[in-house]
Amino acid sequence: MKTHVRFGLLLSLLMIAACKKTKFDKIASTAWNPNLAIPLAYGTFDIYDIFTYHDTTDLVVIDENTGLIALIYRSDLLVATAEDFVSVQQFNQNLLLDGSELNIPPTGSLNGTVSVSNQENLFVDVPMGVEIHSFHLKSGTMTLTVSTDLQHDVTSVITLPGLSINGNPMQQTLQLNYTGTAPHSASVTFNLSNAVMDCTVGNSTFNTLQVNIQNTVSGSGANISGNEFINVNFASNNMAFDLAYGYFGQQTVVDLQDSVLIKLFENGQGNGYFELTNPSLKLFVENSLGIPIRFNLSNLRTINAFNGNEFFMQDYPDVHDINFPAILGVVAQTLIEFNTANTPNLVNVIAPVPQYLAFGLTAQTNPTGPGATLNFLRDTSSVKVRSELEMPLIGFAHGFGAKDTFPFNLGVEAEEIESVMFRLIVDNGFPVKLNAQIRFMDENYNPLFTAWEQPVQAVNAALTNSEGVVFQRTVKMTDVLIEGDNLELLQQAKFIEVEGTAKTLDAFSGHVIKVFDWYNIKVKLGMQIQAKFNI
Amino acid sequence: MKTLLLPSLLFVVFACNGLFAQRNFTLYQFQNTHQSLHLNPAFRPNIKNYASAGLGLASFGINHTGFTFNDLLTPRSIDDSLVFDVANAIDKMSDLNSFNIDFQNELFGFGMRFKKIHFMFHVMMKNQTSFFYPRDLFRFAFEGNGGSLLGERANLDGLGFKLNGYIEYALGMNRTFLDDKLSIGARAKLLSGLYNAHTSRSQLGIHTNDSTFDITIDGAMTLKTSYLNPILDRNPLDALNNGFNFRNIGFGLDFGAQYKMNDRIEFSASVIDLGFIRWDANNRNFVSDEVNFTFQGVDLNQFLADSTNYFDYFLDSVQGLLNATENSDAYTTSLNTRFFIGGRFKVTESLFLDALWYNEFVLGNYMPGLTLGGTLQLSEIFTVSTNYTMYGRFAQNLGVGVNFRLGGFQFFTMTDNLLGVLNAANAKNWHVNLGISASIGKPDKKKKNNGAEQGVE
Repeated sequence: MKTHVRFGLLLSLLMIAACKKTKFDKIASTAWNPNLAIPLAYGTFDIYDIFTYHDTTDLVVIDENTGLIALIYRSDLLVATAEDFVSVQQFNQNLLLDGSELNIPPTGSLNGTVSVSNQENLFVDVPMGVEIHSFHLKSGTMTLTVSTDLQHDVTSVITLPGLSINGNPMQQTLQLNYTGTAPHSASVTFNLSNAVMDCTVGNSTFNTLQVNIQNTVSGSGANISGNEFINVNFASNNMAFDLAYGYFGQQTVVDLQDSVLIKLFENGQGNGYFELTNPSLKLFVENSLGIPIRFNLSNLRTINAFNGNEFFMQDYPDVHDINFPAILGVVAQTLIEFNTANTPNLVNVIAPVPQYLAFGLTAQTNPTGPGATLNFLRDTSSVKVRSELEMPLIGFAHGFGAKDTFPFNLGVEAEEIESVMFRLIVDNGFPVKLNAQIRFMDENYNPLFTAWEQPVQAVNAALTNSEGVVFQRTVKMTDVLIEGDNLELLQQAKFIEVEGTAKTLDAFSGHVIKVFDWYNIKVKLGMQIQAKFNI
Repeated sequence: MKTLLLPSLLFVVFACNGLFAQRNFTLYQFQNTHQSLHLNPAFRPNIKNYASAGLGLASFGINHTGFTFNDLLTPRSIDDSLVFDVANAIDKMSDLNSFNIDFQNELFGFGMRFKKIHFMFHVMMKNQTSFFYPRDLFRFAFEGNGGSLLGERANLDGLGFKLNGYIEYALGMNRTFLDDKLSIGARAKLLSGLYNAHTSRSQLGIHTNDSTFDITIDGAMTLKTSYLNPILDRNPLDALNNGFNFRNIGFGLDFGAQYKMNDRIEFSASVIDLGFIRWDANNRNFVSDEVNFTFQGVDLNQFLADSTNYFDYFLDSVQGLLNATENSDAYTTSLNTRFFIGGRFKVTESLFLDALWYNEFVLGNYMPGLTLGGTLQLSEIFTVSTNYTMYGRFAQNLGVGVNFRLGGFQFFTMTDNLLGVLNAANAKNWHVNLGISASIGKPDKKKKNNGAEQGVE
């Protein structure tokens, strides 16, 4: 029986001990602090991706075997067309035949007919020194107007032997009928399209068009005083040539100041050092004008737009006779190059990270006077100049910086965040390192705080061999921890200013690096949030 | 629509199923009841014949292997307020935890003894529901991926569930040998599956790179279901039609033995629910694609090239992860096989000490239990048992059971964890059994033996 009692007591004690109640009504608020690690972005950028910001066409592989890259900034500097060299004024000339040239004997009453022939010249109105030998006209009309105070009928036959259409000299007959009123006139208009205008009067001169005029006077019975006249007016309208031969004189047709934007330094701060081993400035001239032209270059210099400093090139060849075609339809090419061989301080003027390369240019035609062959040009002929500032990415640089501003919005309430850590991982295949600072700014661009007290090295330079070729990538991980007061300020931030200063590997030692098209940089951005929720 | 089906399915089945963690440690001690033969077909109750209809053995239970409420709510040091201590709860979990809700009921049964042979037959409905969750699921939710999981794979393998319902028709017998010292029993079961849904394959991992924070998701899932339409249509009782048509047919076996070493000591052992069900009716299976996807954030190259279409591209990629193919292939599930090894020591003629070693495999995980208890037989009418069980990574399971025998009826009720009722916040197991059956004939006279009322010829 005792055993039974003991068993019962044990059972009872266990049950009593088990009757401990949980006080669910005393549950207090508790913090829930999850930590979230989130990958934000990633990307792999080669040299073309990096320069997409400007223009990938600026990048050119200059060695197909190795993939060596050059930055080439191109600019179309000049286009001079045919009209800049030869411009022809419209004809509006009178050939007045007075009584002496008509040479009709005076009489009280003229009956019958009298014929008079005269030879005159029209002159092509061109700039001083331009000697036109011939034109081929593509359009226009010519109006001939004959007027006279003779009180008789007059028949005028006007022939221009130098102006031929379809191979036939132009000849026009005008009939002036006297009706009792003098002076009286008649006119005719003819088309100049496809007309050839020979201005040499049988290779004896230039700019001259011979005119033969034959007038036949049919007497009406009225008198002849001997002072009568016949006037012939030549007026062209929309006359234009598509081909011209001659000697176009010594004209200065271009006189300009121009510049090439060096985009690489466009967003820079105007400081730093950028030494390339073999930069060059090339001017590619395409000339379809059959005219000898001489370029005179002056004031070749670079300009730092941030501080206004100008760095002048020295000892460069400034006079260049450009090629011209010997026959129609050919475009002659000329390359004018300024490099370290002919411009010794070219490297030095680019080193101070200028934003512009500027120069002056004049172009003079027939610099040595008339030549053995005639100048020629078509209406579509031109001379074009295209510049290329070529900077093979071989060299070293330091201290060149850039900064940019981006909109920013945190997007979440900071009250539930204890800290935010941004992590940047850069796996760099370029032999360039970068020190960076991130500045958070309010809507008025006032700085709120910076990511770090001092700029940090966010990108390590890849390692190169003695040839300046990368053989080992480097990885750099950089954290930005935002907590405390800065977390509050982060909510006010509306813009982020990212500022970086780059330096090539061992730049201060003058170590030359090369940039190839197979280099790339891998970027990863992540974020770690320490959240705090009250539950 | 598919995304709504699964949670709806879970909810409905959890709601419809009864409660029972089918371990029944306490029932094993009630060896003088016919219902104990469900756990060991070699047992020989001291009533020769019995019959039940409707409520022969109704078992309800909930078992949670993860943590208790008290693990989750701990007292604050400065006062007696309670605070959520998820870290402590996580600490109490194992790698893979389960929340189980089970129910079974003997619809009909009878037993008859002829000399040394005891015949038994029953029809029983069994429903088992389990939800499996890995510890890292809570770690991921509570700590985020940037805490201790940073650089690790959050192991969500095994995340899934199992719903199983079937009706078993069992016919068995046992026989004594060696002058009744040894009893050996066996039972064959014909099974008719009611419904089934389970994640036959569940692999899911989330790895966060500790430097780049890249998130890699790997995984694959296979969900197999059979005859879920009644549940999805909220007419779960329609599933009972399957209990009699054997369209989802299965077979099972139970074995058991009991040996009396001397007057005081006896041993017993059993293997129950060794078998399978072939599911072939109204199957809908879903097999996901193998997933191995790393999210690295916004692809800057693509974004910078075309920011307008980038997010469409990203969503398409994510949507591709959720692709699954559907089939109606037949499949087989094994029964929830369990092993019992017990021992009994007679202290007095009416007081017995019991020990039980329980063995179970759940999703390949070995789940043992150890019970120490006592049984007090105060009279032929009333028997009480109590025990203390360590199971499911929880050592505070106090089992209690009583058995009345009045007239021709036997009534019993028991629980494997009384503390689950008295102090639910500190329990992992909640369980109750009850049953009413008719006892036909007088109990056997006591014979000098070491057991409770043992049948004698």
